[in-house]
Amino acid sequence: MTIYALVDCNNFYVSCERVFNPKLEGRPVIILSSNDGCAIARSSEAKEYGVKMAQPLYQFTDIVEKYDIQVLSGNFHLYTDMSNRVMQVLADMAPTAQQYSIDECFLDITGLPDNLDEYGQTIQAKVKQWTGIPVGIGIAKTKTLAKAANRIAKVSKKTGGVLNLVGSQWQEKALEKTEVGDVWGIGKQFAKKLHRNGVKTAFDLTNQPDGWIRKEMGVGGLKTVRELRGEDCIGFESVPQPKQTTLVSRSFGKTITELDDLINAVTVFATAAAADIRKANLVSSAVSVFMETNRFSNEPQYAPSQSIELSPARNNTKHIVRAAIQGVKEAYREGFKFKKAGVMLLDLVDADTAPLSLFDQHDPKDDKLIEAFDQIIRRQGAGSINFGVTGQPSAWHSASAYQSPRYTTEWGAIPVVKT
Amino acid sequence: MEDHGIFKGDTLIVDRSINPEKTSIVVVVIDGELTVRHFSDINSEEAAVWGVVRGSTRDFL
Repeated sequence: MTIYALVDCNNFYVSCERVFNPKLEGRPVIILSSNDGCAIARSSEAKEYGVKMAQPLYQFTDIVEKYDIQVLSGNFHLYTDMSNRVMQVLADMAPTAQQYSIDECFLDITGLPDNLDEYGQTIQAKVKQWTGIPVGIGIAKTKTLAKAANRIAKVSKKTGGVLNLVGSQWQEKALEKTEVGDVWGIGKQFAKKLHRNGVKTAFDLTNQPDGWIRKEMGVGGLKTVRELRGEDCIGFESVPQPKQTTLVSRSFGKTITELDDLINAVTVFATAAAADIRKANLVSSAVSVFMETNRFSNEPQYAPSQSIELSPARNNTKHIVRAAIQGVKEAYREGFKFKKAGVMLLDLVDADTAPLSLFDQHDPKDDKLIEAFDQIIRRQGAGSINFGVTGQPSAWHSASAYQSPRYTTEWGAIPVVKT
Repeated sequence: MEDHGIFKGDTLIVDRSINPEKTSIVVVVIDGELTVRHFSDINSEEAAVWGVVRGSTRDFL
């Protein structure tokens, strides 16, 4: 029998900000999506004032003023780095750790400690001390139960943030307390249907006959229900599939019409995408570029995309950017107001096993250049060095008016302490 | 902090994974601000330890 722990960071983005700016502790905080469009994270205090997830900023500006809510632009460099720190600490605490999202991780803690509750508290305390991030932990015999336990651990103060359902009388109670729509793997639409059939809680669901579940919810649904009954059906999937594509895209702060500005933006996206695959030691054999006008406006619409083949497969920014620019030039038409563009790298394969081409004109200087390029970025932060064509991004750069410093990834931004 | 060899402009190396001892230099949160202190000088009621200072570096230029 496997024992799962689901570790989930509390209000992760807000918690990251609070680590380096403790003044935010206890204050209502809201984090905005890129472009400062809408709320993507809320501290518990901000939730109480009624700010909803994904609510656009303009709809709650009055609440912000009235309750002195701290509004911040998403600082994704910070969140990614803090996520890595949390995941590293967790990886040390269990033989198997499987990251599920930026702020969630499943651990296999089978046979580790005698007292699961205590071990959960140890994990919680260690993550908090080492990274500053508070976490909630659900422990159970299946992933779906661990998810449910985690949910309760977060809202119920009694649990102290750790709830263990293994060998306890709490498993049934926990299922009774879990609204069926909150069960991992049950969608909103389906929850409505279940409600109409009188199935209101996860516990109700476990009491439905298998035949009915299979008919109504399919094989996947039956898996979910069996997991709720304590039968391990999901497990730790074997090695996750390496990714096949990578995408960098962004909505522009304001629409752009000029080819030069598009080239400028796409170069930045291509640079980021290339860095992304180099980090994973992958190469790409096709670069796809796309651009879109604003679907919601009455302006003329145009949303082309263009793929450029790379042979042999590459991950050098120079080649990726060159292909991306070629793609933009081919796809661009005058007279449209573009709202968004992106670069996708396709057919990713491991750099060490990628097929070579007899006619590949490999220039070792390119490798040295890109090595130096990556090193400068590591030390000075993204955007500190660019390929010549990127120029000034002002025409399209997204608004992030309230962003905190990149405390952990930029040397010049590390926190300053008082004496 | 100069008594402890820490000067304005120094870069502190802060380790959150170790527990402070009586002789530690620590970064603490006082009134919401990260502040460097000798552990024996802090009042644990108003200051929460944020990390332990392992060392520091100083630029001469």
